[in-house]
Amino acid sequence: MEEKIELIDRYFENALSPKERLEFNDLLQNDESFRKEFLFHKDLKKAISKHQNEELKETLGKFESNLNRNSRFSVIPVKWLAAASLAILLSVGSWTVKNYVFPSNERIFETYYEPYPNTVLPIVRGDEIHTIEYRAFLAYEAGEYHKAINLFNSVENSEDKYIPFYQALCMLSVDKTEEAIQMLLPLTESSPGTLQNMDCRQKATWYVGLAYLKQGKEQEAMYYMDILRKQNQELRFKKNEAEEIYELLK
Amino acid sequence: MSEKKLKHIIDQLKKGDQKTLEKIYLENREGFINFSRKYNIEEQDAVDIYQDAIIVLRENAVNGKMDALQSNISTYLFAIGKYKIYHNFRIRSREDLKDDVDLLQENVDFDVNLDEDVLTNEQKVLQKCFEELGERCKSILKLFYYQGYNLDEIQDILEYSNKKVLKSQKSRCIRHLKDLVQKYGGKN
Repeated sequence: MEEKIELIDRYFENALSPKERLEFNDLLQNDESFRKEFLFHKDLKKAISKHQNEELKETLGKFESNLNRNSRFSVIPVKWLAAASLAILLSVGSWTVKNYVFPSNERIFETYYEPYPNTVLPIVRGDEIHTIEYRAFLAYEAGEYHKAINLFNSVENSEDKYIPFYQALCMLSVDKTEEAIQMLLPLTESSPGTLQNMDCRQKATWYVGLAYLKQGKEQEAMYYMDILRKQNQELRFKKNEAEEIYELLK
Repeated sequence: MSEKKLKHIIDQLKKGDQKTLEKIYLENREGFINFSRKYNIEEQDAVDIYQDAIIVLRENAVNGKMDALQSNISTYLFAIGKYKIYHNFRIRSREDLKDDVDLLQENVDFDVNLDEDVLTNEQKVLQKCFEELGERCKSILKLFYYQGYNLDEIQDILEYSNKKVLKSQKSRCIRHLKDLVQKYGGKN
């Protein structure tokens, strides 16, 4: 039997030689105990696969609940907030309370800001010579924003809308907030839907709003969040987040 | 996405790297839900379909079906998801999606495994018994039957001093599993 098990193992390793394959097929047809043994291993493969998928489904459920927990202030029940504020009020004083219950603009910014994922790089995939644009996106993805800014500056055809968009996000990431705003503002006026996979106008609007928030210009921030939260059904980019920020600023 | 980077991601998926999976999950989630809205699919349903698509994605990576992939991961993931939308809604005989020829054509090149994931009774018992095995046995069997590593590779991964020891450990696991099946099977 040991030899037969060896054969079955080699089947699952995809390593049967042509000769072994013949032997394997022959046994499968003519040897009932071999057939049974093989089917057991085959069923096992399927059962483990199912087990793995169920486990993954559970993990994905966790990602989903992390998602709901992490990025929202509003998820914390008001009751808890009240209790927390009372506790802190008693022990530390009212200055701290303000920071917890009414998050500062800086904190709101940090909670909601993340650089937009690079959806452009795949387009230049396959270039043997690494273009400047390609290197700029590599730097962007690696979080090397100063380097990315310089590279984006050297890109030809940099009037393509996505270049200033990503460049502005670099600026925002390295605290060059005013420059970022100046680059994003024209994009908020641009015609919709011309950029691969993304509607530039909504995205620029979101980041301009956040940038103003970072500068403490609440009125301006609210203006742009208001645009986003009033988007119609089809355009819902960051609609809920904008609504939350708008409520926090009100 | 460079080829090297793509290959790296697929390798990580094969290994079951959770960080990679989470990154892919989070990066594409919103886009997929927005896409589903076009078909008036509720957010909760869209999340379900999206999760199934992620599962198929990983399974395809593990089975080596993505080794020759040319497009990027997001494109591939979306193709699976779109196909699933089509598949689910066709079952509910929703005519509007049936006509979406583009959607189908887009999927022709994608080897999407949509085999119904239903187990026979024997397989169900086997799954239950597998879950009762010790961690050591589970690892060996997972690596061999699911992730498709050969015994030499598993010897390296699990740091067995030689292949013979690993082999006899594996056959002990199988024997134990068969005993458990017998125990359960006797009840049926």
